[in-house]
Amino acid sequence: MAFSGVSRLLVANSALEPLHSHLSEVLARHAARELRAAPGPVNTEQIKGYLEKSVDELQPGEILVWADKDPAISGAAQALALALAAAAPVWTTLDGQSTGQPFEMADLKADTQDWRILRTPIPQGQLYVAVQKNVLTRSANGILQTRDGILRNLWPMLLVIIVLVTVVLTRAALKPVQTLQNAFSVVDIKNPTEHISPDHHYREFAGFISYFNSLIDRLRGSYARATRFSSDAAHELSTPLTIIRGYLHRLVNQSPDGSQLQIQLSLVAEEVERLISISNKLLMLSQADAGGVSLDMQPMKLNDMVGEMVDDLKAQHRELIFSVDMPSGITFVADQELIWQLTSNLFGNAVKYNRPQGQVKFKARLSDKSLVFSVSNTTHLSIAGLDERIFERFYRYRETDQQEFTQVAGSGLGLSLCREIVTAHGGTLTLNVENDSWVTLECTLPCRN
Amino acid sequence: MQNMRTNILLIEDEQRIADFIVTGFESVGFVVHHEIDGFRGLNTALIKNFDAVVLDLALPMMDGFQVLTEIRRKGLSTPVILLTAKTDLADRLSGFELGADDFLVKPFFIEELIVRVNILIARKSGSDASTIAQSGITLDRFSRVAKWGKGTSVLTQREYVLLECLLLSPGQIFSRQQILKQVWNVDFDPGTNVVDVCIQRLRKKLSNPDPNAQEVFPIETIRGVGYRLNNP
Repeated sequence: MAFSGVSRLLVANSALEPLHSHLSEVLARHAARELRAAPGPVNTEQIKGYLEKSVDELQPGEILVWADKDPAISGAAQALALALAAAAPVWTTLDGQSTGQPFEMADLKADTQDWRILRTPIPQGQLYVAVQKNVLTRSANGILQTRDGILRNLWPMLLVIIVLVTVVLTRAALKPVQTLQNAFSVVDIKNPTEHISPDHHYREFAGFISYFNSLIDRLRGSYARATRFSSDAAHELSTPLTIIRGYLHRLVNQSPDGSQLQIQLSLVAEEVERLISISNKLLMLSQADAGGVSLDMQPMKLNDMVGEMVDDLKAQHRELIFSVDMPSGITFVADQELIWQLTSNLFGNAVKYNRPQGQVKFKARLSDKSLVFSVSNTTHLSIAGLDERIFERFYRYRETDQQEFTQVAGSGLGLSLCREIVTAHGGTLTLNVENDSWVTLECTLPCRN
Repeated sequence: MQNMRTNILLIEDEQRIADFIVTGFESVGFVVHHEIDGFRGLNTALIKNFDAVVLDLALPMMDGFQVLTEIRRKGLSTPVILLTAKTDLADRLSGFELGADDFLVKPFFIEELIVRVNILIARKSGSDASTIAQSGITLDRFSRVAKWGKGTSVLTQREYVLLECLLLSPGQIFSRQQILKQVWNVDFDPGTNVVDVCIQRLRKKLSNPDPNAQEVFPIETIRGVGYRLNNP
């Protein structure tokens, strides 16, 4: 850690002396307290013992305490007292306020050891406390290490706190933005009057909100125009189409039976049918876009409808295997005509894109909350590229880019229409592709009572 | 059928559609009176007697709903069939609420319009026969029993609707797509041969078990075009 390096540097250099002084003062304070605590004759051994206790990891002989005229002065103390008397060092007075007792200190070099000596007057004369300076250095190092340790342990916690504070602050700062975003997300594009009111948001957002409102108005405008366009187009087409179809039929009826002319006319009639079908689908899709298909909700029997359809399909496609798996007597409330169209479209696709000798499965189950039914089929198509896009308008799945559109039957509107029908009923239509070349379209309709 | 000078009123502003409807009805022997706006149409409907009214919804002066409301308010019970370009359910419902008898969405088949008008007139006059007889085939509307020569058979719902559709417009060629629309209510399905399968079933069910029988089954296949119930 960088701290320890700096500490070492401090200890090695100028910081050592102030630390020594500080520790000396601490020792003096302890000694003074001991003197005050035990009035009467001074017991140097007791003071020494006490002081030894107050210094960590002390080696024997590193602290010496003696008094003038002490009869029981130890040998080491005596030697040091003699050295002191011989050296006669300069005494510096310690700050008496912190110790409550006048203390002086001096440094002495004796027997290659640096000593710090403190003295204070006692009734017998002077009390000396000598401590080896390396004890002080060691002690100072200990203190610095402890400080480093604390910093080291604190560091990760500090980081966590910083991160937490940042998160909390960011959350608080983003909350109004979040609220605004929520408000944005619930704006109904199909409701022409719905806007975001600036009253519930910070004034700083007012410009932003009004920009959003104008943007959504413009969006609604073009949406409405686009919707009206396809609806108008379909309406406008219906008159000429009715007439063309009518006259074509008349011509077909009037031309000689089996003639080339009659066959050609009926081919044209078929193309007109295709146009009419596309125009009808567009009309319905535009209604769905413009805010919903109106539903004629009636109770209907799924078993009857599906049974009838499957019977028709079986008669037509003897090469395919049909299976129906549903409990008997499923009755639910829906727009009968639309559900008919939906199911017939799903079956139509299942047959159209099936492989020779393939299978078609219909499954249905009814719960309290929903009716789920699905049409699955085997297919000759490579299913790798089949995805949600099949619900897009005019999208037609091609196995390769080279494949011509004409190879694929249909208008490309069927499944988007199916999805609109299901959505209008409040349900969902999903595509599931299984890797063993089964394609399933599953429809979930909520039950209404 | 009741086409002996059946008199109908057509209120339709689109001249081309009107021409087409008029010629269609005239070809089966109807007399058609045509008016081009709601106001004149209502006046004519109130002054003259008609067997049925074919009423467009989008009209100048008065729209179809207003005309219908007035017709019913004056106590006329003439059958009214509405024509509309919209598939709106709301339109359909309010149409029936105001007293319309039937509803047809453009683009429609003229044969279907004629059949529906015929049915409405028959129902009104109480001659809504329980059996239809045409070209030697009789069809019981309630029991769905069809007879031709010595053959008798109970038809399925689909077979019944298909046969009824052909019986009501004899001599008319029905394309597969037209039959699909009228019988299966399927918009457009180029790949399907469900119609052919159903016609074959009908033939098989009604054909004389005696292979030496001389009679030709009246439902004729027009190659590459469709089917027709031949007039005797």
